[in-house]
Amino acid sequence: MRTRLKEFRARHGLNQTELAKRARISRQTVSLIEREEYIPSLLIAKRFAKIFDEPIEEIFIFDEEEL
Amino acid sequence: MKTTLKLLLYATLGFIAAYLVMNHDVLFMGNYEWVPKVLLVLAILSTIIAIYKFFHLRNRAAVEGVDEDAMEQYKYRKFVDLTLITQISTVLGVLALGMGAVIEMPVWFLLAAMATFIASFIVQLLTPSITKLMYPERNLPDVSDKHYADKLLALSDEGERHVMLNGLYKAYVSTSSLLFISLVILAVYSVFTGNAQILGMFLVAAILLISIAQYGLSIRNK
Repeated sequence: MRTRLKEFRARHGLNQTELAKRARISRQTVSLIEREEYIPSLLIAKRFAKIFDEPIEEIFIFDEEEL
Repeated sequence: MKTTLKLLLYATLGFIAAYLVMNHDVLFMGNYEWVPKVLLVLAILSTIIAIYKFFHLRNRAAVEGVDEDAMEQYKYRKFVDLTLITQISTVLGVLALGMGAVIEMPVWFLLAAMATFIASFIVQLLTPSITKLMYPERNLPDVSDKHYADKLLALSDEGERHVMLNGLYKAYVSTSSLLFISLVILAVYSVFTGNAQILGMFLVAAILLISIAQYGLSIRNK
């Protein structure tokens, strides 16, 4: 899985700490997700989608073999 | 290649351990007094560093930098460093005190080791309180809370738990291996020196078995 979280965060002018506060998670978790070291739960993915007003599939991109 | 290097490293460590066990009298010339002294110096140094780091972080815990992310990461790393150094100083303090008592070091030495241990232990107890200053927005439990560890785990989010799980699993695997190696070294030492380490062997074996059983049962019953 790849993620465009960093790109969307930059586009919205948010730093990791601000995004973390909005998504009610820690900055460490945002950093892990951005570095693609951790796949978030559906709940967190949905929160990101709501913050950026984008569908989950735009933020998290799965390879065909993964699905 | 990595496996070969690992095997070579283990073989070298095994050889050094066996050599030390079998020739300890020649190497130390029957004089062990320097060992607790070195341990005490290391314990005092690490305690001083821990106290410095504690106050340094406590004074900066509420500070917010221009680069919020960098500041947050800085504080988090400093906190982990502090936790590590306090644990190291406490272990070194206990070791210096224990060894000093066993080989009947002078009273001043034992008092110094005891004071170092108490100081490092107090810093270790106070360290978690800094998290309340670092993360005032999080409803973190009180350090004095009986269920502090459980509540802290429950408050952690999934990413933090993921990090903890990785760290704990690595620690569990290395602890199990190291305890097993310790058991073998104690057995070899007992056989070759005639100085039976029965209590140590029982303790190491009990810790190893309890740890394996706790892990096994907790994953089996899910």
